[in-house]
Amino acid sequence: MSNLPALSEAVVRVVFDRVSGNVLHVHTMTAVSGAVLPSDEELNTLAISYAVATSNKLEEQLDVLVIKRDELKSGVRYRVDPKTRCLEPV
Amino acid sequence: MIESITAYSIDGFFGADSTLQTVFLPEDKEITATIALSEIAPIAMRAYIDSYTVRELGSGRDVVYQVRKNHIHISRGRSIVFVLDKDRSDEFPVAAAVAHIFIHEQSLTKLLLGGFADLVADRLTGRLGR
Repeated sequence: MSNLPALSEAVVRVVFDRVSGNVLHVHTMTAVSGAVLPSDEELNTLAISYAVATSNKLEEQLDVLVIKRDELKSGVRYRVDPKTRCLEPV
Repeated sequence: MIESITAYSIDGFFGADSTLQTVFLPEDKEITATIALSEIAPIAMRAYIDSYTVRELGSGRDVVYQVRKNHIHISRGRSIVFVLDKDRSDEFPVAAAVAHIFIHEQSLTKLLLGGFADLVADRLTGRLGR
């Protein structure tokens, strides 16, 4: 067995369209032992910046939902209800 | 010899067009990272190391380097970003990608991105981890 340092528990940012609720990307963030995880605000900014870079959306059109990894189930497609800011299967 | 490694997986896309994983790194280590698509179904997918961030000596600024490659070696890295994109014209992408981070030539992590991860994890581990 490995005695190497592990990753921290993953935190997940779901970037979605503020109007449609469509999920643009899912961004998982972890830290290797000995590294520092940035603040929540910095992590949100990071997730948004990648969504802007990889879509035709403006930052103002996007929002971020912070969830735990186990809230996403394999094989399930999701959207975010823009009013309640809750994940819902589609 | 590479020791056995712990798997961290991201299964599926959950309706998104891409999955990203940012791994924050200890800056005092030298890092080698690799990423590869599954051999089982490497279709309609792109897997790459998007970028890494280094804190510049002297100024202390964080500098982001875009790489878009599948293998890099860095030192003083603060973070690294792995990406798995699906082809938006393909309704059923089924590939997966695996990423490794090596610190001092030992595989520290295996990050499995997207697709039906459970089906390919063992084979990918055999390909990259031994």
